[in-house]
Parts: sequence; structure tokens; C-alpha cells
Amino acid sequence: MVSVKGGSVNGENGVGVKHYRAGFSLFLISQAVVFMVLIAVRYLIAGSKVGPYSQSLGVVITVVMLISAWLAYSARKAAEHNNGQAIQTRLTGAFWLGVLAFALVLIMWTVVKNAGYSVTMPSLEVFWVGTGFWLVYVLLGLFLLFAARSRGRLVGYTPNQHWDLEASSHFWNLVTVGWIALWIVFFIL
Amino acid sequence: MAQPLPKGQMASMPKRIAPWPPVLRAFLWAGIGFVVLAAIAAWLDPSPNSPYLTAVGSVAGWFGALIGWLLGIGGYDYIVRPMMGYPTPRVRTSGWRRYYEYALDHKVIGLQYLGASTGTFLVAGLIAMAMRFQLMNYQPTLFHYPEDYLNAVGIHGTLMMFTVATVAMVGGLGNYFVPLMIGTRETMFPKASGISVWLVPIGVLTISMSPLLGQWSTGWRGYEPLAASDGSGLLYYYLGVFALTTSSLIVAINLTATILFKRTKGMTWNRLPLFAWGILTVSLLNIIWLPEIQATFILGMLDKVMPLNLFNVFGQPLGYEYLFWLFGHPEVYIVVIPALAIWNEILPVMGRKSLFARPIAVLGLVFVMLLSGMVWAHHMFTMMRFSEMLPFSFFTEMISIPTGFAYLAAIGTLWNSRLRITTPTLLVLMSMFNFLIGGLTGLFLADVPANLQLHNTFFVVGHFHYTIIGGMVFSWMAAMYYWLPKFSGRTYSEFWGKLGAIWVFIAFNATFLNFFILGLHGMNRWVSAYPKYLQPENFWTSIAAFFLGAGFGINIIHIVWAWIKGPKVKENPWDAKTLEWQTSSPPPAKNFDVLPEVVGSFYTYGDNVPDPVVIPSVQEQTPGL
Amino acid sequence: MGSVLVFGLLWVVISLLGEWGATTWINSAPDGTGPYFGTASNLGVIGAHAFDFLVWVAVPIFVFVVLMIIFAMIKFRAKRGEKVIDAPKQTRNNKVFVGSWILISILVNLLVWLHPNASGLEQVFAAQLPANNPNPLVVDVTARQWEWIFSYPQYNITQSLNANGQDTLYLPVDRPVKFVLRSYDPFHTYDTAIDVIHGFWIPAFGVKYDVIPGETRVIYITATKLISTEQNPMARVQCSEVCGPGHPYMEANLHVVTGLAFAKWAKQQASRS
Repeated sequence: MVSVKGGSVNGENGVGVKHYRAGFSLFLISQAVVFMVLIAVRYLIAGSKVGPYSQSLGVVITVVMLISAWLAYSARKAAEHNNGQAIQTRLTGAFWLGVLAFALVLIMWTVVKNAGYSVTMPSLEVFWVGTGFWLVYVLLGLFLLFAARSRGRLVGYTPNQHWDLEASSHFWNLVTVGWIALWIVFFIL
Repeated sequence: MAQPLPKGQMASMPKRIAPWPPVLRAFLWAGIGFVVLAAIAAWLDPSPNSPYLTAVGSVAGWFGALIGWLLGIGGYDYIVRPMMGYPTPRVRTSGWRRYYEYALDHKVIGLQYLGASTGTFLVAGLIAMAMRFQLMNYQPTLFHYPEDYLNAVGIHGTLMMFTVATVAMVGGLGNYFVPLMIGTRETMFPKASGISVWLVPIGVLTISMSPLLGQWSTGWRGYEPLAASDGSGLLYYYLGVFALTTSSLIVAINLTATILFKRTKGMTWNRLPLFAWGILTVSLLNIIWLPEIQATFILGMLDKVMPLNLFNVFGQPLGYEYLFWLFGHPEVYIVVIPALAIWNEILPVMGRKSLFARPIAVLGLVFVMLLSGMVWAHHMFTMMRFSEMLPFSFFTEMISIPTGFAYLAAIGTLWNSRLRITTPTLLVLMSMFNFLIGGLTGLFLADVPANLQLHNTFFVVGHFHYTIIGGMVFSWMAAMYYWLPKFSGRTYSEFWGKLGAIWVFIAFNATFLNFFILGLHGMNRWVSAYPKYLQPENFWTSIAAFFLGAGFGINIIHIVWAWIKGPKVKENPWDAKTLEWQTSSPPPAKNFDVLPEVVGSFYTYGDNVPDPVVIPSVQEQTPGL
Repeated sequence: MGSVLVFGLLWVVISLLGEWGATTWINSAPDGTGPYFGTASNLGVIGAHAFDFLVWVAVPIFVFVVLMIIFAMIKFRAKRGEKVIDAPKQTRNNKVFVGSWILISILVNLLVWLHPNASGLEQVFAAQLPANNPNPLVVDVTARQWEWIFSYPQYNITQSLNANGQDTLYLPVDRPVKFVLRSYDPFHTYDTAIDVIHGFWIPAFGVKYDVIPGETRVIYITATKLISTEQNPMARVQCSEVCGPGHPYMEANLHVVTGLAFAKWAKQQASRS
């Protein structure tokens, strides 16, 4: 399949990895629409009201996700430098930080639920829905990180051949950007 | 037919693993997935009313079934394991069994889509026949309770919309012909494409079986807040549509990337075939709007199953409607753009005349795409505030301008042509006639004062059946007859083809012209029982509808017969110029032995016009293939 | 050039015939409303005029395309069994044709947007101004699953019923009526989350407006003809938005009567309730 990193080509009709990247970005764009709908629904249902969310946990999750995304990105960079060991450790780190973020959202749900507010107040309903959608993306992203890591162990990546790793890290970056967008809209604005 | 792989390649690939037919395995795994996840849900969220299957459990179980189904059909062997670094097993490339398995060849996938669409068209069509049978009488006869009838309406609409109208020409013909037409051997993401087609059967089954969970009465739109208090079957309506739209989304991404990046040498944007342009614009619409409706449907599902108050009086009662039509109107153009493209694909070939004003025809498709996101609220004139009426009626009127460009090109091409009146020609001309009526009645509906009377009557039902059956289904049939020699190397009988076309045309108009009159007479939608004075008109409408149903049956039987037993025909029977005709019929496994090179326009006819396609000798091809 | 002349002539002649037929059709009804039927109110007449005008606009467009299809099938047909050769004239563009097509389609669309749409809406909006509706009869319309409930607060009628105990709507002719539309269930007020959208539609009046839960919407309509459900089945209140299994049966009878008859009826109803 694709065996050359961006720029040079060898596929049929001159298809190279940069084209796969562009094709994959179509998928990422389509998924960004989902986050736009969630944001629109927030304003539709709850106006611009900020609910009684745990602000500190929100910041913690954001930081965790940023570090995790950076690790996924640097794993890709490591592949370009043919550093197999670094790929493994960084992907492992990204994966477990993702699991942590997932758990933190669940913890925040419990905290907010037990804080004594009606769970069906509009600003909370959109919060359950928005973060719940995001958790599904996290699950998918975690699977991709896991698969990228497993593939790194079984097949290995080379500077010229690491599209699977790259796609996983792109998706994980989308998950991170998605969280930051939700965080800004739900917690700050 | 399919060519065997070269010897060396064959040896390097591991043996197939599937011990028994993948479809059976998929059913088994889907069952296991359902039971496991439904059990977990029942354990986490027990319901005092039912010991095992709760509303939450039926949703969780469905996702288990979805995952089990996709893994069982081939996702596990061909996607998940290779993704983690295990070797990829071989895919069957010959024999009838490959159509019932995971496939990578875009032609197999296209036929899988076409088969699923046609089958669903028959099922949903039979439901329509049952509905028309009920409407022959003003009192309940076949459907004893209104909810039976309303549920039938909902399933008919949902299946027709998400499995036929948006799938047949994009997932089916698009997958089959776009790579052939742009000169490539495979699509950009064949692995994803191979799995996407298997979302269609589970989506269709989910929607068809939804009444088992509890009848629902909202029709195909699932309007809130009714949906929240309606039968639980709506959960499977949401989920079925989710599966079907995911399938279309994958098709859209795959074909967009294919058209953007895999065009053969010389296939510039100015030379890209009209059908490929149509698929490209449709796919861009799909990439934006399908995720939007998916998110909305999942929200609707959560609103129902949790239950939340997003779309009732405590939230935003009209919120769902706005989100639905934001997708819903582009959806209409998703349906019809490939049809408009097909007209101008077939007419130049049959008229032996250059496509008239080609840039305008392409611009028409593009502008329809751009405007389609701005007109949605015209479905809600009776719901909106007065101040919103003028802008939405403005954009609604304006979208008829680019739609008219398809007519401009078609009419300019017809003029002074040497038109061969074949079955495809006839069907294209009929489609132009029908869609014209659909468009002109849209003029009345876009007029707000008149809309306040016509809205939600049979006038609207007639209008959209004219655009969708009249526009899309007729063009789909035209395309099937036109490309039949390509699919099978055989052709149809002109006599039976024309008879079938005329039959369907007359029956269609006899049925749906009546809908306009019925609507003006005060027949509203979603009723199984209606005032008695409307019965005579409804009776004759139903009779015509039965003839229409029989007509579709005749055409399908004829096409299937011709496909298998029809007379053999030469490889390019229409003397068409586009690339799909520049290879053998049916196309070989890898489409082209040598990738062709495009040096001119496919739509230019006349004396001294050089051949638009050059087949380079093997040495000239890029090495490494 | 010959074909153009023949086609143009045919188009003009057939369009004129079509317009003549359409006008006859429109005038076939005694009140000049032709195929529209729903004209027993001030708003319905606006819609009917729009409809008639659009029929006139649509006829030449329809004739142009359909005539072109038939014309091409006859004039430009390749003879059966003839050798397949390219058309002799290969016009790939014609600036005059394309330009005038685009110009005309823009103009026609602007035209129908301005008139009858915007001009008609102008009249609809004007008909909704309280100032233009002096001394209105107030009718509170309550839509529930699945019943229309009409009450007349000015006449102390909480729920107007006919002799069979069915909900019924009585209106005086030529007097503005202020319909106050709400969707809730007065018999199950403990659960407001179950209210759904209904459509308040009187086919004979040529107008409908949806009833949204949580909102109170007002629409002014003046009935202009004496009609009743018994004599014209289009004179009925019908739910036009699917609202659940009972939707087909969510209708009520309508009687438009003279002012005197209405006063008499109101007195009767008030004494009953």
C-alpha cells in the first residue's frame, strides 16, 4: 500500500500519503460537524448559561488531554526519526492519559450529580449529552491508539511507512480539539 | 469476469480463515453482541417492568449487535487484526459468493449496494401498496388501528429515503462507475468501503423490525416532542438511520477522495465526467450533513431513552425540527443531483451531440449544493414566526435557478441532435417531465400564503414523490438500462424496455397527479381514516398506484433477465466516449490493463473530433504498478 | 433557424391556449377560485390569488419544456436502423440562449418572490395587526391528544359542545376572530412534558398554523362565507401535524353562521355550561 511519506509518490495515478492524509481529513471534518451540533444544541437548549460543573476538574481534564495529544503527536515524530522505542512509550503514555481523562469525566459526572442540583436542568442536560458524545470518541480514539501501538510492536514503523500511526494520532488530536472546544463552550463562555 | 491474481502474489497471501459463510457468522456474532450488551445494560440499569430487555438494554444491545455484525462479516479478519499488525487474509475475487462477503473491489461493492437498494425498494414499495390499499376506503380495513398505518408510513419513508434514494445512485452506481469513469483501478479507501456496505442490511433490518419494540407514529421525520412520548420502536428508527447514514458517509468520504486524487492522467476538472461531478457535489453535501443528522438522531434517542427534556416544553420544542430540516433539505438535493447529472451523461451519447454549455451544467450542480443549506426552514412555514418567512421563501425560490441549469444543458443538447430514442433516452426525457412537475409545484409550495393551505396535505406528498420517484427513480432506471451492457456484457429488449418505461410513466402520473387534487380537496397527510367525500378520488389513485407497483416489478424482472440471459452485445454499444466504456464488459477485476490517458473532452461530438482517450503502451506507464 | 421559428410559434400558441384553459379553470368556480377550494376566509383568498397567479406563471414554463421534449423526439429523432453518425450541427454554446435563460429564470424567481409571495405576506401580516381587527371574537383553542377544545371567554363558554357532546366551533361570518392557540392537556395538567405539536387547520379557510407546546400563538382570521361541515366537508377543524395514533380522528365540526345566529347559539351554550 502506501509506503512513502508526504511529498513523493508511488501509488496509482500519483497517489501518495499526503493524499491519504487529505482523504482522512475529510473524515475528521465530518466528525467536527458533530461537535458543532453539540455546541449549537447547548445554545438552543440552555442559552449561554454555564452549569454547576466542576471547574477544577475541567481544567485537569484539559491539561491531561493536551499532554496526551502531545504524546501522540511526538510518537508520530519519533516514527519519522525511526525511534521505535520512543513510539512505544509515547503511545503507551497517550493511551493511559486518555483512560485517565475518560475516568475523570465519569468522576465529574458523579460529582455534579451528587451536588444536589436537578439532573434535568437544561444546562446539565446539555452537559451530559455533550460530554457523553465525547466519551464515545475517546473510546474510539483509545482503540486506535492501542491498535497503533500493537502494530508498532508486531510490524514496526519506518520513517517512510507509518500511516497507521499517523492516522491514529490525527484522530486523537481531533478528540483533544473536540474536548477543548466543548470545555471552552461549556465551562467558560 | 474476475481475473485470478498473479501466482507470486497468491502465494504471499495467507489462506482465508472464515470457516463458514461470513453472513452466518455475522448473524451469530451480532446475536452474541446483543445478548451480552443488553445483559450488561439490564444489570446496570434494571427495570421493574421487564426482567431482561429494557429500553436502555435494547439500545446497548443494538450497538453490541452492530459491532458483532461488522466484525463477523469481515471487520475482524480484514480490518481490526491487520490494523494491529497481523497479516491480511485474501479476499475472494471470483464466484457468486464474493457478493455475500467482505469485498475490496469497488465493482463488487457497488453491486452489493445496488442489490441492497433494489431489495429495499421492493420491500418499501410493498408497504406503499399496503398503504394505498388502506386508503381505498375511508375507514380502517387493512390497518385496524391508525398506529399500524402510521408505522407503515414511517418505515416506508425511512427505508426509501435512507436506503434507496440516497444510496442507489451514490453507493451503488457511484461506487461501481466513478473509478471506471475517472480511470483508476480501485477507490481511495477500499477497506472502509468494503465494510460500509454491510451497514445497509443491518440498518434495513433494524428499521423494518422496529415495530417489535413498540409501534411509532411520527412518520420518517420523527418530530419531537411527539417522538419522546411515542412508541419505543423509534429507538430502532434512530439507530437504523444511524447505521444507514454511516454507510453513506463512508461512501461519500471514499468517493470524494477518489475523485480528488485518483483521476488518471489528463483527467482535468474540465474533463471530469458529469456523473463524477454529481457524485462529488453530493458527497460534499453528505460529508457535512450526514454527521449533523446522526448527531441529531442520537440526541433524539437519548432524549427518549434517558429521558431528557431537550426537545419538549422544558427545552426547545422546535429544536429538533430545525436540526432535522437543516439536514432534511440538503437531503433532497443529495437525492436528485446524481439524477440531474445522469441526464446530461446520457443525452449527449444518445443524441450524438456535444453537451451544451457544460460549464453551466457543472455550475448548476455546485450552486445547488451551496444553496441547499439555506432553504431548510421552508418545511416549517406553519411553525415559524412571521418575520422568518420572507428570507426562507427567498432562498427557496432562488434554488430553482441552478436546478434549471440541468434543464438548460439538456435542452441545448437535445436541440439539433440526432436523438436515438432508446429506453434510456425515453426514461431520461420522462424524468425531465416528472421533475419539471415536481419543480413547478414547488413554486406553489414556496409561496408562503399558499403554503399555509397546502402544507402537510397530499399536495406536498405529490410534490416530493414527483421529485424523488419522478426525478431520481426514473433516472436510476435510465442509468440501469444505459449501463446494463457494462454490468453484464448483455443488453435488454428494446420492446420490453420501452413498454416498461411507458407503463411506469403513465401509472406514475396517474397516481401522483391525483395527489395534488386530493391535497387541494383537503386530504391531509398521515391519516388512515379520512372524511368520506375523499374516498372516490382515493380509490382511483390506489388503482393507479397498483399499476405503478406492477410496472416497477416488470422493469426489475426485465433488467434481471437481461443481465443473466439477455442477448450478448458489443463492448461499447452506445458508442459512448467516457472511460467506463473503454474497457471490456463486464470490466476485468482491475478495470484497465493499462490506465488510459485523457486528451480531450468526452462530450464533444462532430466530424474531425479526435478520440478523447489514448491507451498508452505498457512501457509508458508509471513503473511500480 | 427554421426549427427555432416553428418551435417558438408552437410555444406561443400552446402557451396561450394553456393560459386560456387555466383561466377557464380558475373561473369555473362561482367565486373565481377555481381549483383552490379553501377560500372561505380573508386569508384563504390571499392564498387563492397567489395560487391562480402561479398557475399563469407555470403554464408557459411547463409548455416550453414539455414541448421541447416532444419536439426533440419528433424533429431530431434518428431514423430507425440508421447508421449512427454525429449530429450535423454541434452547437456547444449559445451566449444569447444561455444568457437569456439565466436572466429570465432570475427574473421569474424574483417576480414570484415579490408577487404573489411578498405581496401576499404583506396582506397576511396586515390581517394579523390587532388594529385591523376591531372588536374581535376571542376563541381559545386548546389542542390535546386528541381533541380540539374551543372556549369563548367573552361569552362564558368554557367548552363548546354540540348536541352529541362533540367539540364544535361556531363562528360569526364577517367578524374578525382571534384564535389563541395552545397545546396542553387540561385534563392531565400534572404532566406537561407529553404535549406535542398539532396543526390548527380549517381546509375551507385555506390556512393552517401549528400549535406548539409551551407557546401561545395568536392568529386572526375572518370567515367570509356561511358554511358548515354538514354542507361542505372541507369546513372542518383538522389536525394537520402528525400527533400520534389519534391524529386522523382529531377533527371538529365547524359552523359559520350569521351574527344573529351566533349570538343565539352562544347564549344557549353559556346556559349549558
